[in-house]
Amino acid sequence: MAWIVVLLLLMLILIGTPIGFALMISAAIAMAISDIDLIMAPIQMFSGANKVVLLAIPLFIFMGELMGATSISERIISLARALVGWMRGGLAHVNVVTSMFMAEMSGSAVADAAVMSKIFVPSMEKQGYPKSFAAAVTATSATLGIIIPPSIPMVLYGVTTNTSIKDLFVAGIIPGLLLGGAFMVTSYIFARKEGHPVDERFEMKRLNKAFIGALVPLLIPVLVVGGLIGGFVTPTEAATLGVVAALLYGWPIRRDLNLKAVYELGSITVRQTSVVMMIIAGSAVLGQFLANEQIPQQIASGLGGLTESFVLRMLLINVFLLFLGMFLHASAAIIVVVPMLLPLAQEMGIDPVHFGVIVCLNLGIGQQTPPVASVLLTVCSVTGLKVENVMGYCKWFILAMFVTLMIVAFIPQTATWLGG
Amino acid sequence: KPIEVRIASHVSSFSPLHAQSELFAAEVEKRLPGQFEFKLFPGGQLGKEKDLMTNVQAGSLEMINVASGVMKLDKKLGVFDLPWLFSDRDHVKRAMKAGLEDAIRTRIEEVGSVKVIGVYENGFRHVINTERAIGEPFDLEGLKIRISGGKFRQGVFQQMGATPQKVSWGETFTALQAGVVDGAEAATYGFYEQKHFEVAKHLSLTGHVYTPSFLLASTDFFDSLTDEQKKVFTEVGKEITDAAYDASASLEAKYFEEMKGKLKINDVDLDAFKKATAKSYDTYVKSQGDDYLTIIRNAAK
Amino acid sequence: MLRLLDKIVEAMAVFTFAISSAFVFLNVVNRYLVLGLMRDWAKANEAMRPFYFWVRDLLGNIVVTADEVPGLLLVWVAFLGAYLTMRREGHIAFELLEESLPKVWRKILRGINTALICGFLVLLFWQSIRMIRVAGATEIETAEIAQGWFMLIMPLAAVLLFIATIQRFLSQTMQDNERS
Ligand code: NA
Ligand code: NA
Repeated sequence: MAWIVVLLLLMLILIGTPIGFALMISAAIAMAISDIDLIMAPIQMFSGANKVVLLAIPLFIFMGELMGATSISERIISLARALVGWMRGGLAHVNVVTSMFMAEMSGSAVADAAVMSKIFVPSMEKQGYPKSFAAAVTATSATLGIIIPPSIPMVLYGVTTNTSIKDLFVAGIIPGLLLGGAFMVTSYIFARKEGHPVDERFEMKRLNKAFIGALVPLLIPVLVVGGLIGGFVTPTEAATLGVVAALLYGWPIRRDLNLKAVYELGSITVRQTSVVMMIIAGSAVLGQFLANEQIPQQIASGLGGLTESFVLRMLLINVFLLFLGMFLHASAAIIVVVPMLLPLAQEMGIDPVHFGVIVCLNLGIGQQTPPVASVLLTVCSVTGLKVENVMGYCKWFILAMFVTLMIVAFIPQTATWLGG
Repeated sequence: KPIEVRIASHVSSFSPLHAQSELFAAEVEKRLPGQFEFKLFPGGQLGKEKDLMTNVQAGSLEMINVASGVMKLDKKLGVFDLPWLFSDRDHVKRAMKAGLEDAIRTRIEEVGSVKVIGVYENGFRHVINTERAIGEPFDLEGLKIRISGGKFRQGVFQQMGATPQKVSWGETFTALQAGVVDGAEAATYGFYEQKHFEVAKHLSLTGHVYTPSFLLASTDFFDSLTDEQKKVFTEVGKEITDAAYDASASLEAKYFEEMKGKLKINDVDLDAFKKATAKSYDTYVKSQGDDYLTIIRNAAK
Repeated sequence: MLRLLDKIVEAMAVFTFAISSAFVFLNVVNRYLVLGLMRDWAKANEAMRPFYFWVRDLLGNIVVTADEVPGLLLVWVAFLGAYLTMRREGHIAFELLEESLPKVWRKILRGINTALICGFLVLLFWQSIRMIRVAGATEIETAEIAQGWFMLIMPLAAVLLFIATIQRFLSQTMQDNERS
């Protein structure tokens, strides 16, 4: 029965059924075949979406949208230029560092990629960078959005596995910095090889000015993550604080926003949220069916039975996740598959928080690799480039991500050290 | 071919509810060997408490073992929300045997259209916190306590001087650890399975609320059984009651023992608490009558 | 007609999102401003107490549901949003195969998809009505409101999504015909 559901699901996805609906339909068919009362479908869909913690998803999306609609991105770009623009391949580094700052505000890589490719690819092309290189940097560095907190995939992982979202957020900080560093090293190698230009000379005065300009917008996410770590608020509450702060900053203080704009952003938020929530609702039904047939236990023991060696098992898990990430949307992969892998990870003695970071890194790579490369495809469609052209550069950045992944996977301290 | 019977629960295998389901399944198997294949689904694998209730009412699950969710079926069952209703487990047992159990069985079957197989124990709720041992109401003064339930329980904790907080159960560990709240109230196994004892310093045995657990069968499923099977289900459901209370007691003792290393456990001055919250009975008695209360009071000693 | 429906659903969704966020925010306000600052103030100053109790009970009645109602409202946000997404940019799907096929096949695949989704929505409508009839009267945990009111989104979503899915299929077919 398990195989029939999996095949059915894959077939539906292949013929272009929206993933959320593919999950619901294949579960409903499987339940009908197994003679399970179909009233369980609405019960599970309602219950799967009914979780206060999940409210953090629209809240973080809304916070990102609010900040994106203000003058914040320009301020952050000037700060990044003043910081790293003097290096060889200046704009590529500015691109990465801006992504790191923006990652603080956004929980989703796709959202980051759309904004960043509109800003960076034309200006990098003007300075003489190959356009596909510009697109590759933009696409891959958008992954930072889901590693550096806040991160929607981490919220989902926390909810699915009952792991502390606060601990997950803290655990993402060092791997996020490592990943940003890896991207800068890769950019630097290309800059030397292809002779990319410097952006502007370093000036302390300019850095000071840019820093002051970007201070308030940078402080809002710091407040959110700080309030969470400091023990004032829960993750969901932290997200509302971020929204309120961003609203105050953008509306009465800077006057970048008005009621109509806020309503529009609310509408965008609701729609983006629904995309993830349909996958959650769909997998709640499918998950119910799988649990009913006691399938997750079988899969975990099947995977674990392949080998006893820790290193091989760790590699196996990573390959499996990478493969999944190539075909599945990140939220679907977390909600549907992680519950099956977690028991194996725990048996191997991997800390659930550390495992969460490993999962997010893997899925981040998956967002760059066809066929379902949500981030790469977003960048390509915004810039009008062909995937195969961008891939030429992109593969080296993916290699950099893979190296970071291996470091984080085999050195747990990268994820657990900050949290103590 | 044996009939497949799923028994689902919203709480984990650490709970007394799981032990009760196991007891029931084993005893039925002993009397009707090979006729049933029981499959236990603890830990909300098949849904949250509300979902399980809906499923069993609709006939899409054979059996469930749940707790306070059943009380939402009918306001009269809200009697179990009243604070310090029972003094201890023996008091509960006496009251249940003196007619309380039969009364609530009938009531649930009437309003819920389900078959009540057994009424056992979910447990007394206690208070865990990071600040100080709670011995009398004044010790709760100013503490942020995570509570579950509605306005009524909020009022009870306010009367004792605490500042009740709403945080979802899943976020409570982090909230305790980070200091968003100072404490929480739950049944002993809840503190144990959620590892709250690792971040809290005191477990005070307030026993402010007692919640029974209910082993329910869907009417569709129950009606599909043969007369002999029905008889065995009903009998076993009743006969394991004492063993179920014993299992709850020994589980609780085990969890106390294991948590002792990480926090201090203390008894409280029950009379002081009862006095502080005596008013809270009035509204219930006014709207739902005092027939349940009379049984409980007569069983007090 | 559908434009008007879009506007109404959009307004409902944004409003519900705002309300559910407000619950969570008020919970924080209640914890630190009312039960924290105001309480300390009322402790030191007897005259403040009636006012403090008034605010405490007023806000307390709202936030006592803060661990339940925002989640229930999120279901509304999710499914109303699902309709809006179906009407506009569409839900995440794997489109590579569909795009690489000749036009006739594309039409067939879209037809199959539409039929599958609509079939599921009919089932969802029917089963969610059943769900509400069985369990709708049970009250939610933190307030005296029947959970059926919240569950109402399920049949409503089934109808809305049905309309959007059919409309989407028709407009895609029309676009194809225009192009040829
Ligand atoms: Na982020
Ligand atoms: Na991919």
